Amino acid sequence: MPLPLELAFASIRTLGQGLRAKQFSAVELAAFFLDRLEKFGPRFNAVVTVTRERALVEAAQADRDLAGGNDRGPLHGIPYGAKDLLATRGIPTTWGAAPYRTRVIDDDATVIRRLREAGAVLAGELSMVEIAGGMGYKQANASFNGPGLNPWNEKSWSGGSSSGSGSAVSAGLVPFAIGSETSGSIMTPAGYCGVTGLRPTYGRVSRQGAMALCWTMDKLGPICRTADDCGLVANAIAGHDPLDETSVSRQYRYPPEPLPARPFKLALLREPARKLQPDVQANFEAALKVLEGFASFGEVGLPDFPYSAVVGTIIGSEMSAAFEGMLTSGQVWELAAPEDRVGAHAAMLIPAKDYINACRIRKLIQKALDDKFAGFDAVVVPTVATVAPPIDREFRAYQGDFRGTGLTVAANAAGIPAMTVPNGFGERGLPTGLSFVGRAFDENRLITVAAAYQEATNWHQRHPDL
Amino acid sequence: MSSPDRLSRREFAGRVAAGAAPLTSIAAFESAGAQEKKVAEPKPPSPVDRQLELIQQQYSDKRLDAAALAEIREDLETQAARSLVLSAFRLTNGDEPGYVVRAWRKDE
Repeated sequence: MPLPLELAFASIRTLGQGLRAKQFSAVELAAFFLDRLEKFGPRFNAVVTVTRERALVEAAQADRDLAGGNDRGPLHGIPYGAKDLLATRGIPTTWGAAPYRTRVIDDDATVIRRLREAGAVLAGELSMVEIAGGMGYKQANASFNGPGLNPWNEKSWSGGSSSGSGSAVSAGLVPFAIGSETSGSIMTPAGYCGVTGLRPTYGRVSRQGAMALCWTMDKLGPICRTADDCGLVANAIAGHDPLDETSVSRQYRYPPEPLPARPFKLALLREPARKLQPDVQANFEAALKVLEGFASFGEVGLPDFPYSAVVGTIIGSEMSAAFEGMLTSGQVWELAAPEDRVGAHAAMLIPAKDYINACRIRKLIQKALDDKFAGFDAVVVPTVATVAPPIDREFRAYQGDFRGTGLTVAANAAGIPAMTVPNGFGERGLPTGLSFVGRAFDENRLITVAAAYQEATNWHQRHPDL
Repeated sequence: MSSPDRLSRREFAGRVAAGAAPLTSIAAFESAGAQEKKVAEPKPPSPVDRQLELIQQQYSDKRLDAAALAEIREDLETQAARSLVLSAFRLTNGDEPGYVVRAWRKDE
């Protein structure tokens, strides 16, 4: 008997309860999501490879383990998708780029291995912007398998660079996905697609086996249906890895003990967003009213630093070292977006002093933001200033005068965590997002505050009609 | 805060260039007398011109057409503007970059 449609949009805990109550097996659950990936994945350009064979083997093992009393925890038997920059044994890892469309890195990234050990089932490699957007794409058609389309409005972008991770969770093709963020690539697609995303602290999750765009800024994190789900996934993937020397030894446990106490202490930016799309502004104000039910508010100012110059210089410099081979080999000319084909050339000439000065300023940014945010559980801002742009328009042309707070760039420079949750809808029926940004290693505070918001609202339970 | 986060590459480059104009004007004033005596010497290539030429040499490709070079020039102008911003930021000699570097030896 086919599984009910509502399972496509169920939380990890709900699916786990169903498995343990023997309402369905892990193999049946995997087959259910594999069918959805195959049916809807191409419609949204969300999937590169459906890993049916591997998924059914892993799911059968999960069933055997559960029957034998070996319960691996909340992710046991739960299917998921991985951004296609994570190495997966025996499966192409394309980095979203035509030159690598058949390349197999015959190893599992640490995150993939840890999820397997937690009993999760890899169901698909999900689409992404080519080279994680490092070449400076300006419009949505920047992946070898087409632009990521938004399940809420298929003429709109899914966001990037974790395009498929956002759209696949939004469309109920997988219960959760792994994305990556150097500067915005988890938060933006999660926000645009109306799902919940966690960008962990830099170093919290090993990047071993992940494509390096910028060694000193790349982070991996989950995109899920709920804040609680993000905590469950983070619990499985966080922790020191000797294969990634930037991974930290500081322990991570979810659920946290003790829970951060209510009322939560939240902060608004003293200099708020310059100009938000009217729906984004209205939904943000409505969300603040909900938060007032269990939080007090203060204000912080964003310290005065050249965030954009720092982040642009660091990403450009490290990208130029990581991908010079694409220029010398001529592979850049195979990229989908015309602007990406020439997006790395100038970066080859960034002076060493600029990179080092940017790194020096970054260290000051880290201290200054930590000082500002101390005493608060989170800073609350809109995730993005607009809803997702139409698929056929350049991002900047659509954004016009609408501009966000700049906290995304600042927080990525500092390597501090953030979480986005859906908080309503805007033009063309597209979701808007609310972000909580915290101090380094404060993921559990962010999750707890976001979970409280989700207890008081039902935006995260809405899903597109497919 | 006047963060350049919200500016396009061109806007950002333009504003920084505008900020640097007084310095350029002083230099131009000081050299004006000397230039009057010379007859229409060709204008020396700008740093961005030189960088663009270097890129064409180093990463030569027939597909680097006028449109491609215009995109690269824009990126170079952005980088030059960022460079000015970074150099203008006050740092002390003790401000280190914060590298993560560890001595390494293979486990025996």
